[in-house]
Amino acid sequence: MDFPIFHMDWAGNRMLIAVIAIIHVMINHPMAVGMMPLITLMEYFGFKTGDKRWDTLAKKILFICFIVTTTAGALTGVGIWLSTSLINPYAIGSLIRIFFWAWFTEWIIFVLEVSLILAYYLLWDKMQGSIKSKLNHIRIGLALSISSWGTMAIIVAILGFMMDPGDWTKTPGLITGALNPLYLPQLAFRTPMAMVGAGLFAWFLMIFFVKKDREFRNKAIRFVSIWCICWLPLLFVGAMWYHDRIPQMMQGNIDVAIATQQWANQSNNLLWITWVSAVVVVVTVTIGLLKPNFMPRVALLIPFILIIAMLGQFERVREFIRKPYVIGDYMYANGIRVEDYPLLQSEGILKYATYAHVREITEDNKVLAGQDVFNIACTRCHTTQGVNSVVEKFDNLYGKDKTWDPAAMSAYIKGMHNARPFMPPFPGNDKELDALVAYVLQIKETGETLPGMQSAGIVIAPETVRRSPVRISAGDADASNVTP
Amino acid sequence: MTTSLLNLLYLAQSQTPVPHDIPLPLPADRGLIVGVLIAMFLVHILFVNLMLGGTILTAFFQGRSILKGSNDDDILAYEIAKTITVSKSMAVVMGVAPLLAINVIYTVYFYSANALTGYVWIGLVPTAMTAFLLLYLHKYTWHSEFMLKHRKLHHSIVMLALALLLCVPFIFLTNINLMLFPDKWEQVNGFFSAMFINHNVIPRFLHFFNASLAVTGLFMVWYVGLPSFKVEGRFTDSSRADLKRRFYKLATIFTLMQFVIGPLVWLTLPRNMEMVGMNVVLTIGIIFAVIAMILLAKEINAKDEVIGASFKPIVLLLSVTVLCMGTGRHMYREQILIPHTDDMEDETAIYVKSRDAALELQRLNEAAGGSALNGELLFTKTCATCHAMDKVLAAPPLIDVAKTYKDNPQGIVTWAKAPGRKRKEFAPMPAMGHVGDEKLTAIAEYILKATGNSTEAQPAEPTTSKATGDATPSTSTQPVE
Ligand code: HEC
Repeated sequence: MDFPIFHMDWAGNRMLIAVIAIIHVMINHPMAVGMMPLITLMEYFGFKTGDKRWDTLAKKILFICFIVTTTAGALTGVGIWLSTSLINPYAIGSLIRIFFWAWFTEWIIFVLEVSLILAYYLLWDKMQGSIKSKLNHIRIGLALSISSWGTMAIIVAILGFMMDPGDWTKTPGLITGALNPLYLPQLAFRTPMAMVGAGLFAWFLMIFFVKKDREFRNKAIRFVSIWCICWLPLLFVGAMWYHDRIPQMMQGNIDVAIATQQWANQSNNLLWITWVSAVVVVVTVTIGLLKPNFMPRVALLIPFILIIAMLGQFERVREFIRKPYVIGDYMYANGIRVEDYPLLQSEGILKYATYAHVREITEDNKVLAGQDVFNIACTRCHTTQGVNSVVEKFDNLYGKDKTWDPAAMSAYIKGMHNARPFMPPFPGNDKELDALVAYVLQIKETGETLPGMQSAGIVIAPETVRRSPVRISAGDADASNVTP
Repeated sequence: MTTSLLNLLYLAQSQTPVPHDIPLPLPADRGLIVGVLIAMFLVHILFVNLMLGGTILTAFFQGRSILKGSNDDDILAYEIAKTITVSKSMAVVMGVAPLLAINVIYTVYFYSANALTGYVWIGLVPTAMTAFLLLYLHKYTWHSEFMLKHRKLHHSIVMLALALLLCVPFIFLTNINLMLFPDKWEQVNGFFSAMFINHNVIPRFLHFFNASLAVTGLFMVWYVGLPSFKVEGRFTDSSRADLKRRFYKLATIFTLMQFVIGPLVWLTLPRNMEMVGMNVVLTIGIIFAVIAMILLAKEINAKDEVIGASFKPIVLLLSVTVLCMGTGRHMYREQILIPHTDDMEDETAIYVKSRDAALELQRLNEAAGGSALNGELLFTKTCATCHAMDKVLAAPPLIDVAKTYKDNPQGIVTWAKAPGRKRKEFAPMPAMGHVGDEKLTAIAEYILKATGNSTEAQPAEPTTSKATGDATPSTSTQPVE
């Protein structure tokens, strides 16, 4: 409501965050958090057994992870931040004030992580000289593994907080915020997920890296199978714990009946994918352990794809159960704080918006005002004619070729948070509701779109309401007599 | 009275185009965050300089070696290329802390500038990512047979990476400049118009560009002096001292140019008052730079055996210069924003007061009359979204519904808690159990009364007679698909 509104009217704003975030997680979890300990273990195993082939394989896998994590991995990490600050500046701005020190600590660990991965990869050959330097090199790998996990452990606290701030709304503070109810279950789920993901990705890479040496290929497959088998039980425990926590948490957020109904679909999807992946992974891992010879190349690929799908689904669920909030109980996904609602619903959002064409709605400027209202109240999730288009949504409700009844639309929007609990309540007043309906009716008619302020620029709200250049403080009793 | 009071509280509307601040306290003392910002930004910029300067030098030396067939140039190009891997990674991580700090203390300015240049701003991510991948490709294919045969193709990889890298500072500088001038925001539509809201962006780009080559020159003086950097037997035409001298010259030329570009940056800075403090700090920085220049000139003319002896003092002196420039820059930022920050803080405070007044009002209202069960009101809030009295909206009209439940409010309640799907033409109704039995009953009674399907004229009193309610005959009339 306050900041200039960045809006992608075709693809929708969520798409931008989603694409960047999903790429980031898919790189970060298997290739950094999970792979670093696996590579270190492989290197150590090679050192113990004196078999050079382990060392070579470990370095080759590390090379890929090194390239990907220090380019796409690091930059999508920054990209999540940049994209959320474009789309939800109020949310990320609040989170950064709450979690400044968490982020700062995470940054220090991140510096450590990057320095260590540079050292680990770039010094690999130089530190082969003596037993002592090789052992030191393995220690670098260990430190790198710990710091990779550390950065994730901190960020998950923030993610958990966004879903359910727990006691924070009552007693604000970094620690209460970080110890939100979803933190540990999420961490318990993500950690083994990253580890198993790394194992499966290592398998995938072995398709290319160990082609000829059949004997060693079998050894390597068996090695990774054991790694996965060790983590799988933890993955199930984590998944169950997380799965169990979500509905509980949602009862706190939204009312039970609807919540469970909405959750049911997602829950089934997640369960279904989890079970299928689980079975496939367990089967392949067992074959890998017992009969590595039988393992065809494609079989190394399928579990990897499945675990990626599971990760993607998991992120979707996380996004889903957060709605209608962007920060649970504190801020709705439209960027408006819960505590702002009483004021805005009685006085109107346009009155307090920084950028708007209209402050006082009249018959003449109604549609333009409606556009402002739409921009503020709906564009974080809807477009005019693109993805999740508002016109299309009303088409579905009232029929594409029929004329829509403005009264019905008003009634719908007024109660949209009841009918569709993933939407926040309409934040404006009745006049603005009228204007919004007029605008939606117009864009249905004309098919016009709404460019974001990154291309159209801003319009600073007109000064009509600036009643007096003199600022009057709230306690000024005489002031109430000079109302125009 | 209350509405007019709220109106009045918000008098200061539109004094500044800056958004309201986020109503949460700063996480730490502002001075501390400013310290983090200045210090870590300089570290970040150091690595960025090394990354960009390194890429330029790699491209230059490799290009020259292709043209002239010089062995030394090729070796130098590869040696420099190897350092970029490290500097580019460090540049990214070191950028996070200043970004965090700027997010906290310049929230309203920074996010607004970001949004106004949105597409290009987010374009930073793919741009830098592609440049980095190209740099890796360039480095790791250096000795591949294919690339040794196609050296021009190989060289074009680093040229492409360089072109992308050169875009990045423009994007940053435009944003950082834009955020300081809220009065210009209204003129901006898109990145390119933002670049030219004043004349400061291009001089600053040149300032940064020179700095990159100067810093990389000094870095290379140190790098070629390392014992692990082999010269004998590798370089054909140059000794270690020659290399040092060459990079000293590079650093000197580009530092010298800063004495022209620097004042240009200063002259093109818009100002809103005399900025004495900043000028003093900048002057101190310039004095240190002059001394460094004298030492640099001595080094270039020094004999082979002693070249490099003044390296540490030079770096130290120039570090002070850079620190002064960074501090002066910060003082400028603070001063130019004072009027806007004052207005913004006032407006935020007033907004928060209005908001609290409205919250209080709502609380009082709820305490006064929130408990009454008004079927009509509840209906409007809960059901009118889809149901109207006599029209088809997203669901059947009430006059239809009510007929089925004549004198049977409990039937409506039961249905609402676990609706089936009777009519195919509508989407299934969501379950309404969360509303609660009491309210649902009030709603049901309202519906029956309003449609004339209620014979008893009793006021809406929550029916708690569960026994009769559960055995409602209506269930049999509800064919659930
Ligand atoms: C938190 C994000 C969010 C916001 C903000 C939001 N919506 Fe929605 N809305 C959704 C989602 C998600 C859907 C369901 C999309 C689908 O069909 O899967 C939806 C669906 C709808 C529908 C169709 C509902 C139905 O029953 O099929 C309408 C109409 C609608 N929105 C209008 C609006 C209007 C008008 C606004 C602004 C006042 C708004 N929404 C704000 C997320 C949002």
